[in-house]
Amino acid sequence: MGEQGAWRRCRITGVAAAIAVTFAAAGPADAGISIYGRGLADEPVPYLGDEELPPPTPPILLFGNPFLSTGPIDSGFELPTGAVWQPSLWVFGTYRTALQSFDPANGPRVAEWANTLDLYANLQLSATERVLLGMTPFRRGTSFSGYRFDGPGPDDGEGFESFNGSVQTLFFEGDFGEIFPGLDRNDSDLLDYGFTVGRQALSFQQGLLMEDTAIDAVGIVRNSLTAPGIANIRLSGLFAWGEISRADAVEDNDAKLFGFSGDADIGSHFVSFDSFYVESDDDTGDGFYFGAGTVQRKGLWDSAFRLMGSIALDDDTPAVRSGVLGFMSFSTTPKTSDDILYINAFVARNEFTQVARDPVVGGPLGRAGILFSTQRLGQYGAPLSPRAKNVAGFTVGRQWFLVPTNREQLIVEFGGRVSWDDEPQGAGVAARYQIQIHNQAFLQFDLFGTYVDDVEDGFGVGARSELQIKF
Amino acid sequence: MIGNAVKFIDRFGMRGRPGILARALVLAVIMPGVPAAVAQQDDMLLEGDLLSGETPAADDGGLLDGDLLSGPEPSMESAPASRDAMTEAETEAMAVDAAPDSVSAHQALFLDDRFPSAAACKTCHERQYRQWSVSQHAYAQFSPVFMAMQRFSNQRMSGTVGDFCIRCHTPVGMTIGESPNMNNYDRHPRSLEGITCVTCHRVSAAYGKVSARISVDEGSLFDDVLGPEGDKELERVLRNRDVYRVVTEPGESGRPIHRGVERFFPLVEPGFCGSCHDVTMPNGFRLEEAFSSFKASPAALERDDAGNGATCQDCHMGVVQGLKAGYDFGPAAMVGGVETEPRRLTNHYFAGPDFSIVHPGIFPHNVDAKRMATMREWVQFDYDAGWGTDAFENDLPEDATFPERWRSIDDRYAAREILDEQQKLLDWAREQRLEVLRNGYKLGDVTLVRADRDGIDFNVEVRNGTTGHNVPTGFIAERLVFLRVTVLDSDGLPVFLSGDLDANGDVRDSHSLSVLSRDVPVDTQLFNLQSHFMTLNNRGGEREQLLPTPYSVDVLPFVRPSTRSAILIGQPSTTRIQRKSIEPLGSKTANYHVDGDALIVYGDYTIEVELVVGMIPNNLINTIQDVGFDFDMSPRQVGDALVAGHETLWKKTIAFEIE
Repeated sequence: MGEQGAWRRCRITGVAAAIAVTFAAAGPADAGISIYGRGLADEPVPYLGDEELPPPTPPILLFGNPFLSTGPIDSGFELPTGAVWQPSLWVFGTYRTALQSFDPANGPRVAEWANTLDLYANLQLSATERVLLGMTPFRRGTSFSGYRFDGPGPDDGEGFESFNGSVQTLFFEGDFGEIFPGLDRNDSDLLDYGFTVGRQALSFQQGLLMEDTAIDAVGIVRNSLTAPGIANIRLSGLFAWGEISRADAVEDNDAKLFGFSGDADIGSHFVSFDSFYVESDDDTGDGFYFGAGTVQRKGLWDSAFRLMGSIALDDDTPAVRSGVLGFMSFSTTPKTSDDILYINAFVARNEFTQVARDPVVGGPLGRAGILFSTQRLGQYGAPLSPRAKNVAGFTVGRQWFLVPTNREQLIVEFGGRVSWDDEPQGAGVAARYQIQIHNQAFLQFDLFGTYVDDVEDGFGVGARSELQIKF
Repeated sequence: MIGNAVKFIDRFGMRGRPGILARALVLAVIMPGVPAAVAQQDDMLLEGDLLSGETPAADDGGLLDGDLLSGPEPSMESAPASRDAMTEAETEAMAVDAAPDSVSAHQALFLDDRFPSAAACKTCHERQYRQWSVSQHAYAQFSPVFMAMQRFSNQRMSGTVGDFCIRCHTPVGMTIGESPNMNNYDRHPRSLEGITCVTCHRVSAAYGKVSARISVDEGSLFDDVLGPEGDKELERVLRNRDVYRVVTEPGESGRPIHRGVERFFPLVEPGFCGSCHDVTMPNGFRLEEAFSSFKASPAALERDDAGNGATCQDCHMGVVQGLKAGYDFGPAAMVGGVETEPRRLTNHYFAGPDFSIVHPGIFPHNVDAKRMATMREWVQFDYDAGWGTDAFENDLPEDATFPERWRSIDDRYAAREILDEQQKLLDWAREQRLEVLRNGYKLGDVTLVRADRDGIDFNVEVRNGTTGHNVPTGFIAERLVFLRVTVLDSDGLPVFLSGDLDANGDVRDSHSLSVLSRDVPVDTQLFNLQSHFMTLNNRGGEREQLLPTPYSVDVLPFVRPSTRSAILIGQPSTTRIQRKSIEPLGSKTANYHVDGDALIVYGDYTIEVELVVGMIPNNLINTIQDVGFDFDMSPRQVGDALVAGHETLWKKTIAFEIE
């Protein structure tokens, strides 16, 4: 890239950043189309019925009782335990296809057409008991089926397939009290123990602490408990024995995970606490992890504060390092709009590493903003590094809902990160536009420009378009 | 042929009960070989003529009103056991079917053999019918607010909410395949009965926490029903058919009755209520948790001397609404004016916080009202203006005009008579509602902490009076329970307000339209037990929303089964409820501070505290108004009715002096 090109990109980035700051700083302004501020209509509003409302959108395959559709419901059969099961199978999923060019500040450019299909078969036995089977037939790890126009590696300039027949999700979940109602006819023996067993996705602290899509685990949960001043308490225990992709996104076959998770509604606060211990061999190391968060609304502002820690119980390894991450987010609704104005900030000391993460999850900072998150499709990574090592950063953004049904949206975000270590630091601006084009499909367009300090060719740009179909 | 015969009867003025009986006789003569039920349905199909004509309703009312709503069954002398008696019973049910505006005759006929009307049960179970007729169960499908909410949800979620909400509100309507979006004007009358008799007494399995996705057994009036005590008493009645004049087969002459009562003990177990009153969406979102809350409550865990805990039914179907205080005792049925053996009686009103906001000609369920006019006609009857009262009619200008159905002054008087009875029933329901709410919410002490020239500090305790569940419970994200606090100076002028309403009828919380438009400041000291939906933002944290559609994180939100274990985390990743209820027997304390700048400083002051409950906040009405409301109600009408329904449960006043 020549000097002229770099200057052009710099200007684009600067202008975009200025626009972002302007929009965001505008804050409470009469912008956007909104349901708010109109007040109640004095005259009757025309009744919207079948002609005006979206048609039912059932799963693509159905066996047994309909999925939230009208008609008789089969009475099912009674188990010897007294439970009544009404089996139904529903097949559903999401298909995503994108044309995208990702040219990060500190990495090679990738231009590609990438596809992924998340396909699920849900065998619903009762309202609480079910078996879920999931596959990703167009994706294998970080490799997605499609065509690569430009990029590193042997696949340049040709199509490639990443067909995958393996099971990504297969678990059973249920409620002990519902499976054995005969043991507690008066519903007074506190048998409401929920449980889950099998390969499943797990996420804690909104993905900051753990974000994995396939872990072999068993969990047990007790919910709807109360205590003085606490409207609800949930307590969960977890044990995982396989398919644990640790912080380096490498599957650790020797790892065993033990976890405890809980949350509570205390006054106007939602307080959560999660802790995990991972035991493994000497190469990857044992680790202890914790996360605590509180979410609340004060006045016109919603806020969340989270603190996460990872402790390598042996030496630091790529799988686990010692560090802490503080994360906070604030959002509000600007005057006479339904939009979201948000400010997120984070600070990490040493290197905080997640308990486990899917390879397509770039790192723990993904929730900080669209600048820090990957697209989880193809090689389009995070514009700014989501790694949480001796770094502080922020994002400021606004999400406009452009039509009253919210089916057309625009996000413009500005953010950056600074480091007191040898980690990349920089800033950027990103935008995302989404529009519904069908009852089951929408288009998404992303654009970003970044500048990263102290690296060769520090400017990064990316653009992509995506079609997502739900069924 | 049948139609002509009936028109002949009508032409000769045989309207009201005589006319109905005559028409039934015609049918019986003309169609001797046709099963009685079918013949009766044919009669029903012709009722439209009668209903839409200019029948002086006073004729009907004189014969039917008191009996249906309050009095005992007519004696055997006045109701001879004959085909006429049978027809009378069934006619009431048929009249219910005849009222709605667009139900096909075949559909109505078909449904009577599948899902009998509550009006058919009323013939023998008058007491239960009366309680049910004004209940929230009976109102469930009528609610314009509910209907708008679920259509709004379908609009915003690509139709994927489907019948999730409405399946609870009208299990029969959904079973017969009605569209969730259909206008209530056009629904089948059985659908409009909401949680009607058969939706509990024809459910033969304990489905558990199934969010109302239950199977309602089909069968005619003659088929078995389910009850907690079996059919011992029914067998006695059937052994004495000469006394009770009952028949159990179509075509037989007498009073139709079900052949058996299958003992189904789960009806009196909490889990039966939990089939609907614990609502979890397929994506794992826990919308309502009343039953789960109960299972962890002292009421469920503590046992009396007999080793029994309290059940939902103990507190909500007993003599006192909201307390375990025993049940009534008496005959469960009056068959042809003869009482059955006394037994435990349950209250089928099930008091709760909801109330009707629709025209009283439409709700409560009333056979006379349905016979007199269609719903579209009733909404044209301006009862607020005084139609049908002497004060209005005697002062009527000559050029006054009325809708076609209400041109006759006799009709207006007759309608007013019906509405007066409806209002009595609504007033009774209000008392029941206040009873359950006052048992659920207690206003504790108002404690003055400090009062000097720097300001006033005081606190107010609000307690949960129940052992059975959190309060509020159920649909907690829309239940208003707030303190209205006024501090008055010695001149009676307010120096502090909290819990006052904005111009839209909302408290000044962060969802108030006036607050959002910055017209009034947010009520920072508001005490409100309303929980809120929280949805995940595209990035960052969460935000409160009035409805749980996670459109920030997903431009095309769908309802699909959760792709991860929702049980383990207790909620989907994108949506939850911030619960602000009070745990059983627990309390919360509201702390208030009045700034010294607002005070005159010296003199007498008064603190007035009211504990107020409301059904739904008006800001929700503002949000969902674009899909329109049933019964041609304007959003303003809905909002005004909701505010009018705010109830002050408790009030306390303390006076003090700043020296």
